[in-house]
Amino acid sequence: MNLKNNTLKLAVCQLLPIFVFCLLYFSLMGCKALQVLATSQEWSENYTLMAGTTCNDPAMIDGNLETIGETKYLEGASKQSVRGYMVPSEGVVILPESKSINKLVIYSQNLQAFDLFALETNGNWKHVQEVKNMTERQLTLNLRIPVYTSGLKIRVEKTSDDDALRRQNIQKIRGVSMFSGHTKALAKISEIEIYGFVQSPVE
Amino acid sequence: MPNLPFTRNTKKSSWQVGRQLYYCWLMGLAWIFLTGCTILQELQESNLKRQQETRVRMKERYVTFEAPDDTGVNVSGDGLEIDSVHYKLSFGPDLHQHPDYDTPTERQQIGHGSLVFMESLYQFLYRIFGFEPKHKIHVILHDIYRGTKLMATTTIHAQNRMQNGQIIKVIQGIEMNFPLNMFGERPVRAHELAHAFTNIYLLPAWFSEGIAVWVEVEYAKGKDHRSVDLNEIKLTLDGLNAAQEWSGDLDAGADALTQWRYNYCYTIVAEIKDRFGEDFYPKFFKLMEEDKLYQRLPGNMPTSFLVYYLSQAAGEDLVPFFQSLKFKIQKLSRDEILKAIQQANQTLRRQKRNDESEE
Repeated sequence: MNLKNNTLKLAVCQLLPIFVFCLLYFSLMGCKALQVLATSQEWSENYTLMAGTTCNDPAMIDGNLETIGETKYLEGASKQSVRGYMVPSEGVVILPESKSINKLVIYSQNLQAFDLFALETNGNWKHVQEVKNMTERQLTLNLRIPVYTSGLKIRVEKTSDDDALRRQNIQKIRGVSMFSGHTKALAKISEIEIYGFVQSPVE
Repeated sequence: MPNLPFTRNTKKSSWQVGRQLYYCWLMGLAWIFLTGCTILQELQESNLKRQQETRVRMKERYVTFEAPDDTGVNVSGDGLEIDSVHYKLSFGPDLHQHPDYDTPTERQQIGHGSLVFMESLYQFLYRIFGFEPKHKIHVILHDIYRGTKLMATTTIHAQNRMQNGQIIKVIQGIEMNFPLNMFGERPVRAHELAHAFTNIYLLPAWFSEGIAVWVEVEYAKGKDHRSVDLNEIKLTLDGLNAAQEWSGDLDAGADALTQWRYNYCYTIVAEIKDRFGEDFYPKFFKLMEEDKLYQRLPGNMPTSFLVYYLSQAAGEDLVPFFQSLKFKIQKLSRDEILKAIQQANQTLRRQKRNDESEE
């Protein structure tokens, strides 16, 4: 009996702290889960207006729709070559810290098609989405899968000014195309807005 | 019964061992938990550090700027003239018919946006040099400038004035002219703005271009120029370095040595900075500004005068370095510079008196 009591005592002594620990853990996790369930998701402030946000044309992130910024041509290929004249341009926004991004709003008067990339921790750009037919001046891009990143890049594929620029800079002489300047126009972007979700308690 | 104590002892011993094992197990758990936390924390910190480094790298690579707090942009009703804190932007007559600039709204919006960018670029250059020009910079955009879409210029308007019996050069304005084609290129804007900042010191052309290309390549990440071997010198027929003789004026068209001159002058400027540190050029320009002797020099600034200040900023004599590059220079002392200025002033005064008496 004595031996049985001791064994029971030992088992209770050993198991009790584990039980208490588990109880505490689950109650905390439960609280957290309840907290998440009890909150509603709202759009955050525009992340590009955070102090420390930078862009390769700051007119695109100055919070003013009256200022037009332009994407910048990729540097690399020699400008005085056909390859150099065909390079696309990019708009790059770097946030001061990583954010979970769910929505992008772009205001542009000539952008028609572009690729969206997100900056990875190792410095690579991950392709996020392709936009092919932007017809309105304002495009709201809701990301199916949110991206957690501190940088976004828009690589311009097509603008409504491309044709005119090509007519101006490509001349056909005896069937041979002569290039005298860029063949892809810069995208004119008034503003890039970036949003994620923020949690606020349900009233 | 005799076994009882033994049994009791054995029981006690197993109880104690069990308890000890249990404590060991608890301690082990706590240790693993704490170590796990530390490792997680370290991982999180290293991840944050990596993110920070990536951001800095990307900012440098893409040359990104923060939107300036206050650009003070003031747009005219017809959109033909736009002012900001440091610039005045206007559109050349050939742009008034351009499809992108033929309405006031287009000019206002694009012009306003351009000045937001230029104000950020201004701050960027201010951080590099540590000084700024006193005058507003007048930026004029053209469709075609001087018959081409491939040439941008920066001109410093200076005038000789008599002050306390001495002739001094006074800066009256800074003007930058861009064809639209080049205004879209960030490295070109940075190059020209570097001229606007530094040419207020009326520098020799080779050094002025070297500094501008240095900013263009190393800060604005331009790819049109590269560093070259300093020992591969192109000589004039007099046996002097062809870079020193360069006027920097491209009106006559580029010759076979133009590209080499840009690259070579940039390499000299970069080499000096690499040898004497990041703050070398701010120090150099500060010395020039404190003395203001550049304002009193007759004619263009000679390279010997420039090297006098470069040596002071470096804390060592740079004359042998430039002589080894086949530059025609001599070591100057402050007294020699002042004497040359005095002599030039005397000559100019005499000429002026002669002109007046002839009239």
